[in-house]
Amino acid sequence: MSKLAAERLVAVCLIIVAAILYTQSTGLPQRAGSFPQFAEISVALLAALIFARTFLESNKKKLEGNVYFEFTYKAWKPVAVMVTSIVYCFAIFKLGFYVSSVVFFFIAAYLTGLRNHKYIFLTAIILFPLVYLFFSIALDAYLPEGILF
Amino acid sequence: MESLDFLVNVISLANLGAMFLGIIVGLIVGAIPGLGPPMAIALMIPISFEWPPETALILMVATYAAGIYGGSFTAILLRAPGTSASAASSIEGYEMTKRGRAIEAIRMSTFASVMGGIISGFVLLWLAPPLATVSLLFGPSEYFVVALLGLTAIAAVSFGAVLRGLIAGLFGLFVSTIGIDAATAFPRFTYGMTGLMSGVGILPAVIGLFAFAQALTLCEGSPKSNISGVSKLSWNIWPRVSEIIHCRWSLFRGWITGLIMGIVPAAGGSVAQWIAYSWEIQRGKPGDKFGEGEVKGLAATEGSNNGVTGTSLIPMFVLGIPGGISAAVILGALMIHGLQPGDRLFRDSPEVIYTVIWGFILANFMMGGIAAALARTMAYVTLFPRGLLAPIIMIFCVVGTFTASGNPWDVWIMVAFGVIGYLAQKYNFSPAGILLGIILGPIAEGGLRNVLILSDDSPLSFIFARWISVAIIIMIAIAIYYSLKPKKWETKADTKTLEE
Repeated sequence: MSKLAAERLVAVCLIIVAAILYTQSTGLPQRAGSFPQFAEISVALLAALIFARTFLESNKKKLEGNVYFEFTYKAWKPVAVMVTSIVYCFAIFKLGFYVSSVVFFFIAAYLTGLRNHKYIFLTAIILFPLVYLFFSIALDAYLPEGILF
Repeated sequence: MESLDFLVNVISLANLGAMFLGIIVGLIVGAIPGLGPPMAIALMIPISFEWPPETALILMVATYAAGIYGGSFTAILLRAPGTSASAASSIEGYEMTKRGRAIEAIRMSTFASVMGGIISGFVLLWLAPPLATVSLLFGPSEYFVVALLGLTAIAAVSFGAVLRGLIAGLFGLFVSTIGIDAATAFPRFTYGMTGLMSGVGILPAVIGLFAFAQALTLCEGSPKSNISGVSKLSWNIWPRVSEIIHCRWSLFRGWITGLIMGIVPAAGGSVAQWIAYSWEIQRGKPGDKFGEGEVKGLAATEGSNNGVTGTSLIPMFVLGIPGGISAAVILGALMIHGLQPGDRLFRDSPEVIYTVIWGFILANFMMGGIAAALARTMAYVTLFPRGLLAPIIMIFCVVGTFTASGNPWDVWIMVAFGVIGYLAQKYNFSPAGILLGIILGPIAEGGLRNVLILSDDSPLSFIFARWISVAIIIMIAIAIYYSLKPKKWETKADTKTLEE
């Protein structure tokens, strides 16, 4: 896809999202709906401006070339860690904070591509007792416990 | 000077010990995303319950000052601000860290914060009663126009991509409307989810947009490489005279912004830093590199967020009106110790209040020494491999968010904003703009709504009838003028960063 087309697509998507939210906010009482409506209309207008600007010659030059999507693991690493972090957030409430965090730490470090096991273990051995001492002992903070710990 | 007589009271082992404890706790708790000064101060209340009131309150104000400053450590070193008042510092501060200038960034941050706190403390000491009456002049109309003034900062922090920045800011404004509407009690955009009823908190949003998003960004690079790109850290932990002279006007503007915004209830450091930063960008000179590690930008943001600390206590001490959450917790501690805020506090218990204010000023001095000593140790985190830092930051984001509120929904909101922040940064929709919108949305909406009610739907005549509002509107006009005017320092950035 060309950068020009991508720019137009982003603008159109923003206008559609703003329009959907605007229709939802019309059902709100007058005083409750006016502020979100102001934000939605403004987003739509600015997105329309971005769309219109893509027809200007000066902007066409800036948006020459194509948008490339990389499908290598390196490019998708953040997505893999992001998905793992979502699973981790579920797990802390089901299994418990500490168990989930230890497991997440090793998996996430591995997913980033780090293979220095000594370094990872050493960090975990120092990190988690410190987290426990600080949050559970010093702050006496309530942390999710789940079925484990 | 009556107040000077009480300076000697501060110099006791108990008061200095309380100060030291407050600073250490404030620096540690403030540096962890999600925790922050209100929690640190609240933790100190049970410890100091049996202490003399002045010692207990010195502990609170020292914790407060150090908590605000502590948030800057992680903002500068990891782009993971510990508090919302340090978010702006993460822009220039982290860029400096990435270029191997972490120690330089920390020493400027320390100088700006310490001096900002001290100046703010002296303003609190000498000008508290008259400034408290000024803060009473702020009504709905002023809240609304102050929020608009804050929104003008969006154009400045967008670095060339103004349209995208404005869209980000408006998205933030929209997000701030999620939850039960305060006036009509009608749920807005909650889609039946109970966790959204109380709205999107600033804390999960700032942690997500900056810290969690930063952890995802760290996953992109080589896992073995570190953030700073250097293998050794400098030993120059004390600020240099040449650096201070270079940043003198930036520091001055930051401190002034902080002092003024401190007395505006509900604004505080979260708004002051952005106004100071945008002011700095507008005043930039050729050769300045804002957005690429410009030390002047960092000096302004750090000066402003600690410049707020002293003056934000003025409405609380003199009028009994806390301007923010931290001030409210300190007010609670004040009352636990049997003291009533207001004129009587200065008249009936001068030995307590003036000792506390001097304690606040000395705590800033002590904080400077402790922070300088800690700077190099803290900066070691920038030598960690990215592959280790990313999961560590994520774990702290989760535990910090959950500890702050105890609400599982906040963890999900934080993660959602982490993804939004990551994508926004990648596609040039300023995360800072989104945060500004979320911070300023409730102030602007509440102010506008009250103005509409008070003015019988004729807001303009109401707003223009108040001189403070008019003065702020003039400042808005000046800010917009400078935002639209081509900036001297931007000539190079124009060709480099424009993606629109």
